[in-house]
Amino acid sequence: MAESVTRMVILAEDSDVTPVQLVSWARSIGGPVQLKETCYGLLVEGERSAVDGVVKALRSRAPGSVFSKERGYGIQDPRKCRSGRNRVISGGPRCGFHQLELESRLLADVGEASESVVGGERASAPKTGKRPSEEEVRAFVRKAMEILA
Amino acid sequence: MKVLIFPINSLVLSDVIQRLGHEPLTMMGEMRSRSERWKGRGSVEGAFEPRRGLKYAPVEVPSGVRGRLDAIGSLIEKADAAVIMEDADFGYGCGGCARTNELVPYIVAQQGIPYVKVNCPTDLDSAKVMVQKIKDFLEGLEVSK
Repeated sequence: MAESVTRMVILAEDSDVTPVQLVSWARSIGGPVQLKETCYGLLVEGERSAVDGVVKALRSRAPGSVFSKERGYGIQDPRKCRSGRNRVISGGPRCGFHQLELESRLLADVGEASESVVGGERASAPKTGKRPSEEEVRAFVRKAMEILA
Repeated sequence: MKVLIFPINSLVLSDVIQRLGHEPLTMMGEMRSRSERWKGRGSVEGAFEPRRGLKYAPVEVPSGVRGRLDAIGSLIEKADAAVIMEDADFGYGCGGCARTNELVPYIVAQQGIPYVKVNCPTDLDSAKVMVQKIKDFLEGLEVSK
């Protein structure tokens, strides 16, 4: 049996795309995958090649706002899924959600940056200080020589 | 090329590396293979992980850290390169252990794996610098191979 994987598809905060839209796009792509709509985007589960194909197609539709990472557990895995828990120990977000919540703040900038840099634009480190002109350097040297003389 | 990321469960780094056409090595992928292997068990953590973690840390190190290092160490051994985010202010879940986070960059350096250190982006310009740095590093490695 081929290896089964689950990928989380996450939308950037400033994205115009909604999770519902994402699900309908994924359905239109098709393939032997299981989909689950979530508040942050979508879960895709299936064979690796099929899942990668769906994620690639979704990313090509909205490159700056669709992000993806692998998920350690499958959809509705009883070890992690909240739906199967009893009332006493239920509640609270699934582990990994806090990390996602924090990183989602960076997604808008990283999406735009990776779109432009992967697309071929060259980014350089911002200059921290102003480079002195030739006249300023000469004046500095003259002053230093006067002090030393 | 297989690229280890640090923080080990980072969405940003995982996504950027995949966009650049490489395979990110993450804790989620490792957990997936373990959870498939131990489908009947209540948890994927067992008694043997801290023992196997002795390969990367001495016995004085707490067992929880050694258990994490067993999972991360197996990823380090598979890695061709590593991308380390230095000042990431996030660290929840499996990436939230301070002692493990001290040891992982040290083990990466000790194993002789080529790595690049990037800063956590705060705005668009710093995000562009981060992506450019990762792109240059990975392209440079591909050329040198």
